[in-house]
Amino acid sequence: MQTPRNRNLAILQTLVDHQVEFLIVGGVAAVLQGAPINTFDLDIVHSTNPANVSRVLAALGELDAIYRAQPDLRLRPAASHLSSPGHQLLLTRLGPLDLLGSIGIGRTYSDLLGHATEMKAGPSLSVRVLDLETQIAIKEEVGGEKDQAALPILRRTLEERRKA
Amino acid sequence: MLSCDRIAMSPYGSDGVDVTLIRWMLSLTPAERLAVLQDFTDFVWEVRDANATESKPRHPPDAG
Repeated sequence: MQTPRNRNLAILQTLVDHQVEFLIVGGVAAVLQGAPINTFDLDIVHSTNPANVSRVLAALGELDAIYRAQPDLRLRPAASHLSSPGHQLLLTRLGPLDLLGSIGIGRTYSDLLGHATEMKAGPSLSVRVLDLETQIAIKEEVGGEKDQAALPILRRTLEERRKA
Repeated sequence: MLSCDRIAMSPYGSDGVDVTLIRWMLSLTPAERLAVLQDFTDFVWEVRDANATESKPRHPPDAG
């Protein structure tokens, strides 16, 4: 498999090559569905089942992923971290990558899978993307300042998508 | 010693902002920051092109 030149596509290709079960959420998911916002990191929710966590670890090894909070220490996530519902904010050799065990009020990969749509990301690369309706519902239930700020744009984007 | 567990427990500020991302962006040069933004823009265009069902202009028409 040829590695995509784009860094974000290359991260996704690595995850797919390792057969990681994941879906794209957050700003990238919103932008891919037409929301006019800027984003600077790639957020994914991964399945926390043990087999998938092993695959995630293999992919992260290839991506040379370390925790972003203290990059000088080069701390790497372990299986116990990836099995938890917590958020692992990482820096890979290709850029930032956030691995989320759950989002909103405890919504996991299996909870969200039915609310994801499949998109092509290249000739032989497909990814699952969380739909806008669920993104809005999650931001509403979380209610944080940052999440509230994005809501008007997401709601209007959803309205326009429904009109189209 | 700072453990991975401590880092993973509270990655965001009380306002929900990811400070680690801001610090990482601040560690880059302005040119590198633009490159990050460009990379995301290129990524979105590549995915949109891959999912395009009909030919549409990639850029908005000139305003002038």
